Amino acid sequence: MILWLAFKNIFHKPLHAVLNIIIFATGIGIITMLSLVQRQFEDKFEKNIEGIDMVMGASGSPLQLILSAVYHIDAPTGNIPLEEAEKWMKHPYIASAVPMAYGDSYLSYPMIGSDSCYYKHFGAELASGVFNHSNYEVVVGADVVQKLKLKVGDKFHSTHGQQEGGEEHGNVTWVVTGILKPTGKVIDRMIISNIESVWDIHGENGCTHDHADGEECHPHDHEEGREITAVLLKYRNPMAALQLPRLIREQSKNIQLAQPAIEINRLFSLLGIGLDAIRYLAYFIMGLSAISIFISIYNTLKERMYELAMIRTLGGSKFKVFSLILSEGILYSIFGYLTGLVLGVVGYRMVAMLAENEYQLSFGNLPLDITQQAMLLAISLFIGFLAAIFPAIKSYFIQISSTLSYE
Amino acid sequence: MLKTEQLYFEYSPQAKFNFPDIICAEGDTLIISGESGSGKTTLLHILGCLTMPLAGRVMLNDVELNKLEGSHLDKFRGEHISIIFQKMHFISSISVLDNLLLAQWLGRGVKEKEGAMHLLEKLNIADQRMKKPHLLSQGQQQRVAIARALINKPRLILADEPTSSLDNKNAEIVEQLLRESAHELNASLVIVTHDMRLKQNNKNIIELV
Repeated sequence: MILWLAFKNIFHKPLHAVLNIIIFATGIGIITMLSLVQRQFEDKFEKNIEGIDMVMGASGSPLQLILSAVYHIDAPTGNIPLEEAEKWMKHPYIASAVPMAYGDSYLSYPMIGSDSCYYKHFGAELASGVFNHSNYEVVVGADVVQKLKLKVGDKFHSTHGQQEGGEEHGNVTWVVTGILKPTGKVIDRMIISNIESVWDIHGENGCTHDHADGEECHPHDHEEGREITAVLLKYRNPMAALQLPRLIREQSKNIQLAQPAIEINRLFSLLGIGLDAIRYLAYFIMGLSAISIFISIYNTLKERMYELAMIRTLGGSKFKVFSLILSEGILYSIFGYLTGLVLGVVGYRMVAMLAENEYQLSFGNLPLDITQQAMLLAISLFIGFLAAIFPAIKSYFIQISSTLSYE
Repeated sequence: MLKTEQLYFEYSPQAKFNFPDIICAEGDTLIISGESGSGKTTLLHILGCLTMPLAGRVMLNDVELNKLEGSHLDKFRGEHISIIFQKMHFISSISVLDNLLLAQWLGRGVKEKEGAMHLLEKLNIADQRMKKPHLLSQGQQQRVAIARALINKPRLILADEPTSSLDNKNAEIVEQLLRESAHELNASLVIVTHDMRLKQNNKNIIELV
């Protein structure tokens, strides 16, 4: 009954109520959305560096090398000679090495040349068709298939470079031979051919070199002058982590090594500063909403003194009047919290859509962080309590007689 | 039966009140009248347990009201005493019917929609039950206030200037209504007023000076 009356009282002035709830919800919504986006980001980034101890590529920014070689969201740092790379790929310290040659793209989805180790690395399985066998055959990731509606047997022309609007390679036709099951990793938005196709299309007529499924994960002998873009390395033992970087640095000046874990942590901590700043802003907004709720309750309290005295006259105890006013604050915060939760999830969906359209990053459905939400709810209730406690105390000590006498 | 003995109250040394003793039997009506500043409203608030007298006693049947404290007092008041104020105070955020149900709940801890509807029908305002109180006319509001005062079947009904803002016809209707209702409920009715019209029809009058 008290809660019902508190509800009625709040929405007696609907504009005030809506304003208070919206301000409150904005704070909650921002925090909820940020944490969803951040967790999704970290999840995506960390999932994709599993099994990669080191990335080898051309000199340049190590972060750029990681972003381009592992996530394909940045331009590559350049190419390295195949001969030089192979020297290290075959090194006894290395357990597996996945070479990648970047070439074209198709409707802004990146195409890379690699070998069967690439599929193995991501644990990718075919949904239909077969793995690529000869030149100009491609296997397509699940996201690409979904977006571009490709199927086995489809043919297309590629565009030079990673950006849309590059020069079209009209004389070359790619054929889709296989479609991959979704993995939740970066391979989902890749179009994969053999390396030879990439060399071939860019004017280095090398031998056509067939790759069979389940092939040994070490490269074969190749002719001189060929280049690849990057290699994903996995060490055989912890000693390698200590020894190999030093060896490579000493012997191959043009080759850069970057450790994904370190670079990604650096990226997260940089992003983290920005996210923290926004988060503090959200808490500040929640603080503002506490003041706004307080003012609303306090202002109406003056007008409602008679009503409260009337409730007392009709037999309501001091405590009932006290809990009525307190309930109003708490109700505000509960409505604000729930609205904020909805805003946060909707906001996250919008960011996810944006990320998908702009960066081909697919964000999945994440369950809400229960601990964090419980904490937010607790903070919300506390804010509602704080906003209403002083008006509630004031109403507790109402003098019925004098309130009703002085009109 | 309402009885008072040697009630005394003061706001300041300049504003002291020694009230005459009052007796009002069940079903009877007592008019308390007097000039402004004679302490009419103060006496009414003392009778309604809204203010505690500084000396003296108020007895309702066998209960000494000024011995009750805190929430016991609130509960007793809600259950047995109804007060109709000069200016009508309703909970503005809820409907007329809900105001009556709230009074039931606060007074007796129950909600009986049928009883409330019956009363509204009797007072000829049933069709206004879903409206917010402030949207009603003065006369209608007066009747809602009376309905609220009667809903818990109190033993004592106190009314502060219930007719002062009404024309002759309506004043008579309200007086009639209060008197009949008190008689029906076997409650004591105390009306505080300076309205001459009310004094004409009553024998039981106390003049404050």
